[in-house]
Amino acid sequence: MIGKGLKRKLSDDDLLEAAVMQKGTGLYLDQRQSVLNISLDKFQRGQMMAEPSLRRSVLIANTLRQIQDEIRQENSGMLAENCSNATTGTGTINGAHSVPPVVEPSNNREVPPQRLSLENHPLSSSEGDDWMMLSSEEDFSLSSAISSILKELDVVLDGSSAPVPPRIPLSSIENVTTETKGSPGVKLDTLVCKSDRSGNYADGYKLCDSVFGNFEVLSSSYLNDVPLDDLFLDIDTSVYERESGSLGSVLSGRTFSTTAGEELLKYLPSCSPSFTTNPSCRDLNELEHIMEILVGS
Amino acid sequence: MHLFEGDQGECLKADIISTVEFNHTGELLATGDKGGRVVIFQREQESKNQPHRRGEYNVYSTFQSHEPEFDYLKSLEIEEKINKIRWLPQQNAAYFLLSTNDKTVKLWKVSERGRRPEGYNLKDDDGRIRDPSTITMLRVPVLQPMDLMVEATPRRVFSNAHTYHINSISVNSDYETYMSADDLRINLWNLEITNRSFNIVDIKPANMEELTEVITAAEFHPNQCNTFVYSSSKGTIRLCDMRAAALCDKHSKFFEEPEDPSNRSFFSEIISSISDVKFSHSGRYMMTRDYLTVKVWDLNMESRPLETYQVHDYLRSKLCSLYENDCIFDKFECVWNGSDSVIMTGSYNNFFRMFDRNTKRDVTLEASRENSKPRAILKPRKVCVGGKRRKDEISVDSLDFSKKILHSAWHPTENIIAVAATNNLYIFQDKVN
Repeated sequence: MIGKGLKRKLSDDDLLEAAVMQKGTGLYLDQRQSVLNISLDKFQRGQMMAEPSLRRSVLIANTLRQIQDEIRQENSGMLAENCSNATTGTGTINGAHSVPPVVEPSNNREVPPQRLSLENHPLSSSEGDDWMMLSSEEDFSLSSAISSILKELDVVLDGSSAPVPPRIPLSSIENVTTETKGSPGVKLDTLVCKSDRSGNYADGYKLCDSVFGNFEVLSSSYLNDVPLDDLFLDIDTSVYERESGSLGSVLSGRTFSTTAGEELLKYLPSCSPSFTTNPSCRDLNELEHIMEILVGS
Repeated sequence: MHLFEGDQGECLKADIISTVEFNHTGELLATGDKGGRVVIFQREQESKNQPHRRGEYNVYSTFQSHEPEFDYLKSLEIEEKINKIRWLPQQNAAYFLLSTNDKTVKLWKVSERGRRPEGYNLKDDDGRIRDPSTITMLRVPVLQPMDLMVEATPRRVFSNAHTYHINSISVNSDYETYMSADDLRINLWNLEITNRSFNIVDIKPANMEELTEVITAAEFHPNQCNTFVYSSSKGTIRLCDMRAAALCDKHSKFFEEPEDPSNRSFFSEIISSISDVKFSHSGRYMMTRDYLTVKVWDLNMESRPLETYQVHDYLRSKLCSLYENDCIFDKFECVWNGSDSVIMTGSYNNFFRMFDRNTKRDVTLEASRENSKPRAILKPRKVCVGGKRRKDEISVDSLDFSKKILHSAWHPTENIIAVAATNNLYIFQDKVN
């Protein structure tokens, strides 16, 4: 049924689908969890595609949001049987509002925390150490996941920044590097759902997906004093063939606050020839390299 | 219901067909494929000698419309796949069509050359320069017939106006302008001007985090050159009047069917996403296609559709699997027949469905070479939902979801349909006794 030759993952798929959609039943919750997992997985795969489809991403994000709203309502005890507003997508999705730490849904089913702490969101937790608790807080991480994913969408598709990955705000870099040195608490290495995810993909993605701020960070006055050409001496720009058409089109639609920003744009590290490989890992190393230079470490 | 007989079944092995469109007379049929090529078929003149060959379609012209591009800034490939082809009405001997990929629209001129000038004075017919000393008299070059040559030339290239992927183009009834729609914006172009376009719809939110809805299709009204509609991923259609404002963010009419609470599921929104919207030829109605149904709307009634037709309701219980394998995101198109009495749309397993709006009868047919020899009459197919499967029926679980009919076209006046099944094009005609 799921396309020829593909093995079914869950043997009780049919059961889940055929079940009458009674809210609150274990079967319903099972399916909701299943849809949640599938959606998160799909979302990331969608971002990694050569051609991210905005429509597909938005539809998946709305489904995730709908489930998140439901969970939130259940947990705050306001679940109404005829509540059907979840799909309209209104309401805040910014994770930084004051939702108390959420207890797991009451069905006693084990939900491994790693699944939902996917998008640890340094920027949104700038208010405090909330992110240390993220692994157990389904709700918070989901909304931050969605907001970061949609911001990512803007970044990738609208081109207000370079291709994957966008820039990491400097303050969060320190948090990240501290974290990876093995301090206890949230595991940044964890990733969503499927166990067959390759290690590279997971590592590359975890960093990409933390919120990044957009391109304006780099065009701030911080960089005006830095001689940009020196930064990129080691990057081989000879392979970069400028295509005037695409550059012109992309530049015209953007707001650059400085010419330094424009210069930076042209020499971004993603101009290496092997475009078809997963860009995040390769760019990640270069990005870290650049950041080290900028931070002066 | 009409009986259809299988025609030659033109098979294009090369690539997956991504769009199919008859021109306004039905004489030409254009297809675009994933490889960026356009193939145009022309209908044979009917001859009295062979009355049973009623105007078959043969290849008329093939050309490469779009090439793959690379956007270095975003490190993204721009696919050369032709998303849509729209013909311009014919105004002289040449044919014009618009073809578009994700980012660029092109206006192509397809013209015939059947004659060439011969008898130049200074050069031979081969092009070699003649020795001036051998020229003793002047002659006037004359046009002599030659073998028919069809050439396609790009006349306009409309680029750099879309940040997102173009999903629709539509020629206005004024024949001077057309619109192109991407996920978040719609632009209005003048056919003569390529370096400027007007943005007439923009639904991009200031903060991309708030994005919940995208534009999925758009079309101009067939008669009123100021009116157009666009559909969204939330199952709504907005009708806009360009006379009201320069930026048509406020709609004149808003069409949405209230949700049926008994059919609610996690996938309700996804399956309500409209994949295609088409005005009827009369301009009184419009038709929308979402994942499971086709709906006919009266333009004067916004609250609910006039008619709803179930395309493949047996998939409703399979939505979770279809979500998992991405089939739930397939965008099916729908078409009217010339008199707006029959509507057609595709499904899986190479099935396509026709609904007669007057008799309320419907039929499921299959586009496959195993099951239809040339000039054979198509046999109606049936999908059995549960319980005992009769002979000739196919069960839901046996459907091949990789064989989907997303694109099809109906001749503007006759009962001839073109159905694209992956990389094959099927042309079916009414049977004549």
